[in-house]
Amino acid sequence: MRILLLPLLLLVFVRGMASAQSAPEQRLLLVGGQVQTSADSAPRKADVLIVGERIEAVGEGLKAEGATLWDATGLVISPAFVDAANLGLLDDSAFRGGAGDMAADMFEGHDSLPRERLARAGIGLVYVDIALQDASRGLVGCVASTDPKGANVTVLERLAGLSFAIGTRAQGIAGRMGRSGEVAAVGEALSAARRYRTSFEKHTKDVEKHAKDMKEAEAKQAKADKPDKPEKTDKKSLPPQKPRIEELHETVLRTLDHKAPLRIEAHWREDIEAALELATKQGLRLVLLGGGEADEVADKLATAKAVVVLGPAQPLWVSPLLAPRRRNDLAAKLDAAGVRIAFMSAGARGYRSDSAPLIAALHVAEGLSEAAALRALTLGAAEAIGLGGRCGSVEPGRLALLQLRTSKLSLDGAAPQKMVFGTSVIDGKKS
Amino acid sequence: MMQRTLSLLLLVAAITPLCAQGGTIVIRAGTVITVSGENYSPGAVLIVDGRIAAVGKDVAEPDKALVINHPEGVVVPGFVDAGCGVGARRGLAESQRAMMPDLRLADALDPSDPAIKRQLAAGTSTWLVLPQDGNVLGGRAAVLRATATGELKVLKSDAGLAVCLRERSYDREREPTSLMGALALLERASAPAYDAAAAVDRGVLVGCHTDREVAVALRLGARAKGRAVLFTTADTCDSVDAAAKAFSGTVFARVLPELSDRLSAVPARHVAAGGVIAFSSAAPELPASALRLCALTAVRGGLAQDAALRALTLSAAELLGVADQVGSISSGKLGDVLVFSKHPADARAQLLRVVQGGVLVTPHGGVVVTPHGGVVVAPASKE
Repeated sequence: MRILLLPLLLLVFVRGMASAQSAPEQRLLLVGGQVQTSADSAPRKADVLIVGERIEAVGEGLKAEGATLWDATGLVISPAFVDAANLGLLDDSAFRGGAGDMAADMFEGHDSLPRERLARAGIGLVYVDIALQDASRGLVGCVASTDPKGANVTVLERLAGLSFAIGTRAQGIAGRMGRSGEVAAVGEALSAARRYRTSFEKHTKDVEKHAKDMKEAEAKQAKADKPDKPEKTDKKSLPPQKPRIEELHETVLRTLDHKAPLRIEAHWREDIEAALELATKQGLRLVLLGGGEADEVADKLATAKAVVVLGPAQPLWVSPLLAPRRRNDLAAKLDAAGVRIAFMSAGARGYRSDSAPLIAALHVAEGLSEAAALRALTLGAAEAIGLGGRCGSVEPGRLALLQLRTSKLSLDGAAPQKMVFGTSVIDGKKS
Repeated sequence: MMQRTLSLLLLVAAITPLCAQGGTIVIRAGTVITVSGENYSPGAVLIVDGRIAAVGKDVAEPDKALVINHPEGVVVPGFVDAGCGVGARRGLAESQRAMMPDLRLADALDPSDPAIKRQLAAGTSTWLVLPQDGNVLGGRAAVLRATATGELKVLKSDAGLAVCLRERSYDREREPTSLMGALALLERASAPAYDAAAAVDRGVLVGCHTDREVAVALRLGARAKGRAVLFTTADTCDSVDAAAKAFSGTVFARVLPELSDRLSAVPARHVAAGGVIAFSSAAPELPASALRLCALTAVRGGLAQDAALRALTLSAAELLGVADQVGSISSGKLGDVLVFSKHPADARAQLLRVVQGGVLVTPHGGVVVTPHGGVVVAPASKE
């Protein structure tokens, strides 16, 4: 009997350990509402099942054992907005980065985003950027959730993308090198990462080879049957130094692998063309920040499938460095030319950091269609922050970042009734 | 090509004299918001020779009238900007003396100011130009407007005596050097000028940017017996109730989207306290579009859309003492109307048409002149 009991107890213990290690993810089922899959689609009756941080299923009459039910009757479930560049609580002058600076270092573990305010504006995700100052070597942005729960900001992507500047702001700083120098510097940053990767791969091979050699040596020693004799220290047998991957390099490599966007701030036509040429040569898709004269090269931008991230249609204060022949109807022109657009609050002096939907609405007032503006705030912004295919719509597999409104998605300025971050539902309206 | 240009110029020359009077325009739209009376859905406005001749659900359509149809559009009065420096670019403060009650802005206008056409393009038909903040008594403000072609006109040359209690008016190397000193000067040295100004319609225009300055200004408001207008920002949030009672109205500048929820709510609180409010664009320091942006921010802070529109039009005209000419769509007033795609207090609303003094202006500066059926396109102005 004891012989039988022991394996049984062991089995129970092991299963218990296993379940403790992988606790079932929380499940939330939004029932009775309508779903607007994306900015372009019409709401239809459907339930949404969320498991953990992702949407598991969308459809009518969904059942999910153990899921928390949330009655969405009378509400339209739509994707949350995304701000494609945000400076958080720090303004442009207070938050200037140096080469290789990490936005995540300044945001992760801090209460550094006005999350409640952002959530009330329907914004679920922001790309936190650093104001570019010494930007020819690249600054690393992060993607953060605006979930107001918890004391600090939740960073979803620590190495979300690289930002550079060509011309414009960079040239306004003493000692800058001019457009050709800026372009060369960005190209060099990417080439250096390629060289670094080659070196890293060689190191990795060396480490693997060393491990193999050591194993073989141990086997030989075991065969020789001399366990009591201490082994002589041989310098040559020490493993090669493990290569350290700097986060900046890792981000550059992610960019080269198309896992993170190459973001270049440029406003004047010649700078935009230089940025586009650089991205094309490197085989990367460009995310263009600012783009004051982008309409003059709209065809090229459309062909290259670049995303242009725009600030306000009528900026309140514009430095002469950033004031090219800009048109108020820039967004409308780019959209008409088939260029993908997104909106940002960063650098929009006179606007709060939750102003991306307002900025979008003001572009509508200058001729952009509301549908295009909503697309830019959702799917367009998702591409601009390197999360294309992962957020911006209500579809299985996407991040569950949703807004619940009494009517379909709109830029009427009204706060959503509720915001959904994963499996938590929070009030969108001001309490 | 040259012949065509020449004939176009001749046509412009032939028709321009008529433009000053405006033509006959009928504007039909989904909604007409008159601000001063009944609204019409659908509605129509008839403008003859530069003035509004009729407004209603429908209006008679004279022969050769230019008819503008916007079945989905919303027609509202032209905006009135209650404070800016457009049309008087430089030299608007006397540096050596604090008290300059006799200066007149109307004497120092700059008709070549490029910001004039930008006012038109943003839908601002009429505006108050104020002296700069360098003097405690800065002189006489003026109400200006432009013709559809950008020609500057004075609607009211003595629109009030500008008093500035902001630090920059006394923080100089001459007397006064303190807020108390400024108040003492106002109460003694310039009493006759001040009281004379207070005696006229909307006599005293008091500029303050802090609650402390407003607290001092309340004495001036009381002395002007309801003929003082407060010019401030939303920062004076602790003075709402007192200011609403002491002044005939409050003009807010820089109510911009950067404000916190608490400060965005200040204009709405003024209205709730029974105050009359208007907005200032602060152009040309800020773009002309900042005027509407102030209203949009106030709406986000809880001001009703119609109240925001009233602040942009009739309330501003009343505070400037020109409500008999502009500020609402009613018979006899100047033919300044705007056509928006939605209510103008909705951020998405696109400005589709500007009619200034009965003449059609394109939203982005180009001017279409329409005297009695003729149409001429004048060179577009640069933004």
